Amino acid sequence: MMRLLLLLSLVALPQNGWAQGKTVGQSSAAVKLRMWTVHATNAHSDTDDKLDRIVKHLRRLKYSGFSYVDTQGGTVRRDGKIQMPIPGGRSVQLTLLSKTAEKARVRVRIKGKKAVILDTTVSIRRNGFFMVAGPKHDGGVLVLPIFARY
Amino acid sequence: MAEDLTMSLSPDEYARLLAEDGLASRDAVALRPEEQVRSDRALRRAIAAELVSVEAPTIAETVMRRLGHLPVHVSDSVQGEADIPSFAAAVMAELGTRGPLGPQLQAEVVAEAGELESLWPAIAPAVGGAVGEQPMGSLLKDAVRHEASEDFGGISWLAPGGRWRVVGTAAVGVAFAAAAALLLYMGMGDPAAPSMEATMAPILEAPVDIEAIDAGEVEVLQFGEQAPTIIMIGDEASRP
Repeated sequence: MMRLLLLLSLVALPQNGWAQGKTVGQSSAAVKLRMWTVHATNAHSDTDDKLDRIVKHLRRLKYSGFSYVDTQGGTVRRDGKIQMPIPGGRSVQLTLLSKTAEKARVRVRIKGKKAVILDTTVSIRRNGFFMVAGPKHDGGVLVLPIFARY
Repeated sequence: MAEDLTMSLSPDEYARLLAEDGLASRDAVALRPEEQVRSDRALRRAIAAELVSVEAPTIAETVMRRLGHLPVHVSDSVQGEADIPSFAAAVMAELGTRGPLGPQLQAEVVAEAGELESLWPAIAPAVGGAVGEQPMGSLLKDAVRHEASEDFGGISWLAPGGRWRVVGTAAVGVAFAAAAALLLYMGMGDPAAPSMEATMAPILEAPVDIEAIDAGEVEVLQFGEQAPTIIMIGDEASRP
């Protein structure tokens, strides 16, 4: 164990090469795709604290209350797919089609129990997001903010 | 029969010992011979000088040097959708293995057990326990929970004047290990993974370009150039 600690201690020493190793703005091949699931409803007027960063955009929708459900996603490279379940027996599939320094092309397919509800291809600006809203759930609708981070 | 290692002190030796440890009264110290007092003060000054000359490791600065400048509010990012760093995975990756962590780490600990002195005897008194008499895990958890609570206003068990110094090099090693793990995560992970900036940077609020869209009933909402696009769909097709 001491050997392990010693090794880690040595690694912790500042080294110029590493200091420049992964610098701000360095590009990479992968994109981190994230999807929040939010339940919008008029049954109450509360909003989860976790939604603070996007609440002003959620309030554009004609609902009074917003509940955070979960976050799903993963890191994908070109043509990588992520399949995520959402309430109501539906699923969302995100595919990274391509990326540039400025934007990531992402295909979003939302499948219902019997058919595809939405099939769209969008270009999301780096570290940006957009939202899909509308799938009905528990007296309200689901809102799905989708982020592309790289 | 164990060898008796006790030794007797004369009243004078005992009084000097108390004075050296700072436990004697002012009057008692005043009664000490001047040369003893001078010697004691000189020793204290020498020790203080040695301690002052030791610079504590600036872990935060080291971490930030590795990161570069990040003009973002880290806590906001972490509370948002940023991932929790997998310290253990990063450490093990650096050690040259990407297999299951548990068994390997356990084997490493078992293989080298005994080289690291037990910390419990030093920690136990600080949390009000005694090794072998009370469940240390519960005491520690209670102590951490207590000091983490908002209404905690007492003195931390790691506070100056406490017993943290007793832990000594082991604690320093653990601190370095934690810092190292963080650095490994920051700078030596998968080179294809999104950058740290991507993990910590603020979310960009801007429209998306819709290249194609296919939905039964759809409405695209855009509330300005500083707002995300919202695609509203009807989900009649999803109904059973």
